[in-house]
Amino acid sequence: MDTQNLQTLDLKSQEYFINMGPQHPAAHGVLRLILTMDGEIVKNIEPDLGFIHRSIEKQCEYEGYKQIIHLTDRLDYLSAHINNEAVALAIEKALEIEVPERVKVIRTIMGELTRIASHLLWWGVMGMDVGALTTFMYAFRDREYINDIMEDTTGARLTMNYSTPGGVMFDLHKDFVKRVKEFIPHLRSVLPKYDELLTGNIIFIKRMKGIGVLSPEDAINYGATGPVARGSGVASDVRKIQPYSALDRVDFNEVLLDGGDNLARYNVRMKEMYESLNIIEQLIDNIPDDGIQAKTKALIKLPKGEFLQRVETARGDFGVHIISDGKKNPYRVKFRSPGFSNLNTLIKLGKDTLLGDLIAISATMDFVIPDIDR
Amino acid sequence: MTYENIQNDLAKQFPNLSFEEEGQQFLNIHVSPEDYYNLMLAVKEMGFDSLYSMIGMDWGKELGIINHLEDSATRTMIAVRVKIENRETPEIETIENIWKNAHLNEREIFDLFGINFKGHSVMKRLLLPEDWEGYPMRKDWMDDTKMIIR
Repeated sequence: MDTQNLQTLDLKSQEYFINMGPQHPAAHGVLRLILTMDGEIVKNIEPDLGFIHRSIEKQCEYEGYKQIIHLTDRLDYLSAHINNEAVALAIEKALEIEVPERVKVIRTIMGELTRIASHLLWWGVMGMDVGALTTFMYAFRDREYINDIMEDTTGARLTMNYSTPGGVMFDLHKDFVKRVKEFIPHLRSVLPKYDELLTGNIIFIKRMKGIGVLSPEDAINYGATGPVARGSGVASDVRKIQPYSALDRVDFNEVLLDGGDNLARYNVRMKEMYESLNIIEQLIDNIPDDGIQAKTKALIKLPKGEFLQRVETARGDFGVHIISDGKKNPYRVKFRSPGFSNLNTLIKLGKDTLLGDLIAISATMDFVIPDIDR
Repeated sequence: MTYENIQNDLAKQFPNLSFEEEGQQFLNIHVSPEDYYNLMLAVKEMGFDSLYSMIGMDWGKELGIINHLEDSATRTMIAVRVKIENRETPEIETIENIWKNAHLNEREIFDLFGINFKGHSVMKRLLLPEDWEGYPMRKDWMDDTKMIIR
């Protein structure tokens, strides 16, 4: 066709679809986003979930209360301990069991270690998603320390199943305190270098600053919690709102940053790691010695009613609703997962951005897909 | 705002509500499907700016939903309960335009309980495949594969 004919043709651009996932290196799991594209601009996002939906809520209706705890490992596997703790706390709240002080302190230390491990992994893949592969190696090296500490005490590296109704499964390993105390100064010394590795890079900053801005009103309306909400300056830390376990006796700051962009969400998580170290440091030297298990019955039956326990996982506000009709199985269990609500936020933030920016935004959301699919 | 104030305020606007607080963690408001949408608008006005969670329910005879709402300033939480008698074609108004968080939650409830949210922008299955038959979170669902119900 010669050029003269081309100019007389009526050429129009049209919208088209792209499947992002279910197998996509930047999705950290099997999340499929159906994108409507106009050139390189994302016009609409429709998530297609359920590739690892196991109907954990239905399974819970057919298990006893002690058995449902291990299922929650498989939700957000990077916050496994905190999820276990949530169910254990919900059962203890319903039965009005007072757990030993030692249990409270152990749970909080383990929870904060989990949070650090999760944030470290996020930091590693955050770099990877925007093209910096080095971060992944550093993050995994340091995460290994925490996994080893967990393995010593609980016997598992990821899915700990450590909390039970009324206590914890085993006592601490004899080297636990020593190893945690070795880890704290190590992480404190490397974190600033790690931060510098990414934020000292102009390309990284250009992909983060001013991209994916979430206003505080939208953060609340879309149900965002955790570091996503705190990056927009919305106070949402359950550890401050409804302190649980030993969190009422420690002194720490809720990291709140203005801006609401990718960089703010990044900074919230980086600063939270220091706060977690502070919490562990305040508790590690005086772990009380009053047993690891309160007395519970062999067969647990909850009284009739609805019980809600909220905890702060690495991703945000995780809520366990147990609706009981007085039998040995729950009538209905609902897990309010932070990732599910944060996905709502991605639908909003991803609209009218470049495809490349969508990857960076979803990296700062820190999705764990089993947490969304349940 | 105390639970008593909330209760008095709402009872004035909606005479058919019933309340339940004793033995519960929060103030429970029972509402009919007809009043549901207007009630949700009213509680949003009262400052409950965050939809914490939406729970699909099967009470055996009726289906229904429980919405937990939170005031992000005072951290007061209430629960709104709706029962839908019609199990064949259960329907209720969407609240996705009041709280955007309802968007995916309502799709999940539609998927697992079969409750149709009128006016929802994308009323399609979310977690299960499109050609799935039945609603597995209902109590009368039969598990032929014996994977969950043994």
